[in-house]
Amino acid sequence: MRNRRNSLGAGFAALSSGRLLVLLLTGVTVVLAILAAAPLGPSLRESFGGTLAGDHVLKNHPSFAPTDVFDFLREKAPAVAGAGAAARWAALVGLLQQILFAGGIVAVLGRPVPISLPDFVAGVRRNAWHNIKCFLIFLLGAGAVLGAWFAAQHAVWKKAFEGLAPGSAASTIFRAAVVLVALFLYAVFSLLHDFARAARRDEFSIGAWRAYGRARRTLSGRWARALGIFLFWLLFGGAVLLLGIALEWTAPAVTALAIAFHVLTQIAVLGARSALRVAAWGSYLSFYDGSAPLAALPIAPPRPEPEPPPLLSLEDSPLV
Amino acid sequence: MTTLNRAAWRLATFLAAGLMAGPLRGAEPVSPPVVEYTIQASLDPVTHTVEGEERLVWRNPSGDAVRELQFHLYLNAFKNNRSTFLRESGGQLRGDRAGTRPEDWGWIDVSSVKTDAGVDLKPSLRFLQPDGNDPDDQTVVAVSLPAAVAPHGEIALRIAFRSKLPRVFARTGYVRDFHLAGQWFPKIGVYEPAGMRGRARGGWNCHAFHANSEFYADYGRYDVTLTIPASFVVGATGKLVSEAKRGDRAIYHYSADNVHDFAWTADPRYRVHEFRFDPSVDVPPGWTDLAARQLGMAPTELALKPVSVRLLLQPDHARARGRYIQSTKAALSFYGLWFGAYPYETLTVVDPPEDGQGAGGMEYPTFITGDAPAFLLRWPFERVRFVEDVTIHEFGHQYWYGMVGSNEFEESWLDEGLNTDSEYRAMELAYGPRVIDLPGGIGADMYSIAHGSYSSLPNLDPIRRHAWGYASGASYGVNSYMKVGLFMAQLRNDLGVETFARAQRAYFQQWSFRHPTTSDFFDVFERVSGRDLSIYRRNLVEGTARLDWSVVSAKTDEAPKDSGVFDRTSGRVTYEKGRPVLPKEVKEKKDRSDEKKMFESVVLFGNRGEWAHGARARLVFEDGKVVDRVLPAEARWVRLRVRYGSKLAWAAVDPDRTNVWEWNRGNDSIVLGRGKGAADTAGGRAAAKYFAKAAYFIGLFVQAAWALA
Repeated sequence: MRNRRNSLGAGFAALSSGRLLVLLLTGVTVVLAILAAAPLGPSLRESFGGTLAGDHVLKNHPSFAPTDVFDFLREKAPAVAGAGAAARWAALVGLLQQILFAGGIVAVLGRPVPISLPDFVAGVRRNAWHNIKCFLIFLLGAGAVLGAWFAAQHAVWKKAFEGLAPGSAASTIFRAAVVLVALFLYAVFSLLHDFARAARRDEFSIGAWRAYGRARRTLSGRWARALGIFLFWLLFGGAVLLLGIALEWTAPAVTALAIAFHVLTQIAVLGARSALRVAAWGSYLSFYDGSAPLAALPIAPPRPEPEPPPLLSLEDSPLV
Repeated sequence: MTTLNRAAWRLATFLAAGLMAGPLRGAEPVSPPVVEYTIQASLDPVTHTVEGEERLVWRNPSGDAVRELQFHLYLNAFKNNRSTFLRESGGQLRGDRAGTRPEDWGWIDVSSVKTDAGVDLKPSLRFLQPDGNDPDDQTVVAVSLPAAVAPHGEIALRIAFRSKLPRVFARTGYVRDFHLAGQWFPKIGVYEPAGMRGRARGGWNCHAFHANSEFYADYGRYDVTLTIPASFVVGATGKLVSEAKRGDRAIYHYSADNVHDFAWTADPRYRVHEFRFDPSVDVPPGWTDLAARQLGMAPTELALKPVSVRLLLQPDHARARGRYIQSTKAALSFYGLWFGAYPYETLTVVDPPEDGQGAGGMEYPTFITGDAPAFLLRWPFERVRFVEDVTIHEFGHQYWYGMVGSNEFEESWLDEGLNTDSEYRAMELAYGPRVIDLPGGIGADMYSIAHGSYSSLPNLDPIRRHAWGYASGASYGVNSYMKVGLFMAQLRNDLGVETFARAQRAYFQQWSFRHPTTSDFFDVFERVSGRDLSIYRRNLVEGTARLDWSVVSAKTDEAPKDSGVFDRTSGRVTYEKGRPVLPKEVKEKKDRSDEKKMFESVVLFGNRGEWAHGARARLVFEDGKVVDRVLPAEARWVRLRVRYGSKLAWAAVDPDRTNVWEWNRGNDSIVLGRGKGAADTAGGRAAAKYFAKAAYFIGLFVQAAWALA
């Protein structure tokens, strides 16, 4: 039985063994982001590149820069709206990508053999429909439960807390409790969702509902450990991400070299998110494998044995 | 006033300006005052009602016999959803929504109106809709008098009333135990004699309470006694004369002279911080000298008075304490130095609770409400100077509206707009150019915010309009506030800082404790500046003219070499592509080292706006040379053609941005190339950097969606 520390260690180990996956996730994100930002390109070239506005904004002139930004947003509102719409579509594609990629990840990550792209793709294809169904179940279940939770807390708030002064200890504690419980509920559904998808790691034809049952049994008696893994990656990953975002946000970039370094930092932040994703999967799959010996887990469904040739009859034998 | 009369008046004032010497003498309050209120009121914090008895002495300022009195009953704006206020506002103001529970409505009932002699006037009481507004609106009431008030006579009335405060969303009301009582008593309108504010005939100026209007009243004396549960902390307009306890109630007696309103607040949660504004230590270094220089006065002429300040702070806003104190002192310093010393002894600053911010950002004589949302008190938003900005703005209303009592119904720009300009200047002086200054360089100054608001608004309304006559609430807000801030800055740049400062001080001094109009404003500015400002009034204040100088096109090419027959001083010479055509027997020298390439740069500047106003044009060449030219006001377009040995790097109009009224900065420049010194621009790098940034943010957004999968 794998324990939590090994699961976390497996998560960090996945960063090494799953380099290909990290690159894949980052690359897809970068491509989606550039495509979605494309509507802004001509506007930025014309406004920032073709006028003094770019100079003012880059050098952060205390009054010219904000004025130029306001005018850019007004004059190029259609382009900005276009990029916004494209970003929403990109997010949807990103979501679909994650749903599908999970099928490949559960197939190849944490195996004794190196990860290969064909195996990954095969896993994606094999588990695509299963993962979509699992996602829909997750969405409906978590949506219903969290929706009911927030509705209930709103009713309690109105009845018991609305008359309290702002900043009172009781209202602060209540709000904090609401958030923590919501996080707990989300974590429970998220874990069930992940392990339902992981069920295809050793049962290649298991259906979505049965997979959720399998997930529940996997987690049974080990919820605390699983939630601990979830919390670890949430907090650790969140801290890493926030640090990266803060570094990118505050670093000045006026010269060409500084801008180039800035762009690398941005890619690194996106890469960090991808790496955290892979690492979390590594932990969950290690946890999942703890309920079944790893060596027994095949990577792919067994190929059917070829039929033996038919036996020759005595009449057919050339020796007779 | 007819056009001819106005022209004659302007000529006379120009002539008079030449004869006048020394500063204008300040206006003194009318004595005896037009109104005297003596009010006893008692608050029931459970029902949020105020029982009141008011003795009003009204003095007829006109030569007319006045047969009726008109009153504002402002609280009836919150009585039901058929009031003018609620119909026009849709039940929300400044982002706050009206409550809809039965206990959330507010109203005021007048139960008795009698003369001092006991004559009952209640039977004659009737509601008016003076603006042709909703027939169900009850915010204006008229009372007919059995005998007219004689010219310059007076009448005393006793009025019993009951006010129910609404759940606060629009300045006045309650939430939990917090109470802010503004416009809470029957308030007499302003009787304007003929000639006042351009009136042809005397009459009442008493408008209905509209969603986008504020207030207008006569200066007078207020003597108010409040009976409030003893556990409550109380603040009010004026000076606390006495305080007494009677059982579980406390009785506060306040008095205020030379004010036109009285507001008060009560909340058991207030934390009281009292401090004193001491001009000898609290005026920031250098401000007195700067003001003296700009005004052309000696520093000793700018002496300020000490003021006792009382800050009523919410317990969960302790972080805002220092910010309130510092900004109050900055405001007292700025407005006092540039316009005139704050004349009152006291000032109360109220910090509304988080769920009562509908009462925030408001002004009453010697009593202001700030705004300190909790999230703005913590990193990183503590670097947004919102608390300071609101405090300075609301204090500024002690001058523009408080002492210079313009009609907020009809000319909101004269108080909100002038105060916005003053606020911008005070904020810049006290805190630097940026009021928002977040990590990563994200920030903005007040003028950029004003520009963004102005340029994004459909240009449907002029600055000057009746407050309820704008196309939308946003139009009212931008035209009354930000656009005036830009107009005043434009005027200041055109007149010069010193002339503008002297004119504005003269306007304040002349019209303190009086009711000026737009005409009065321009009359003073024209008199002090010696300039005809009608073009500003016509285009910027009473019109919707925009200014939009732009670089329409710019190109730079190698200058065409001379070709053809030219008559030089040495004789007739034929050139072919810049070289003289020589007879065949003359061998040409091959050395062309002194031939320098010349470039011809052609830039077309155009004013796409309606306002004819000049601008400066700048051409910068790749070798760093800068050429400035003036684009005259009368020109719709100007083409500059320059032949020079270096290519044009960029061209811009109004590069120093002195034309604050400029509507669109996006077309103010064209960059063709880069070069040395001033020609070194970073536009190309900027485009790349911000494209990458946009893609990066989208990437983060895409990855945020992963949380679902």
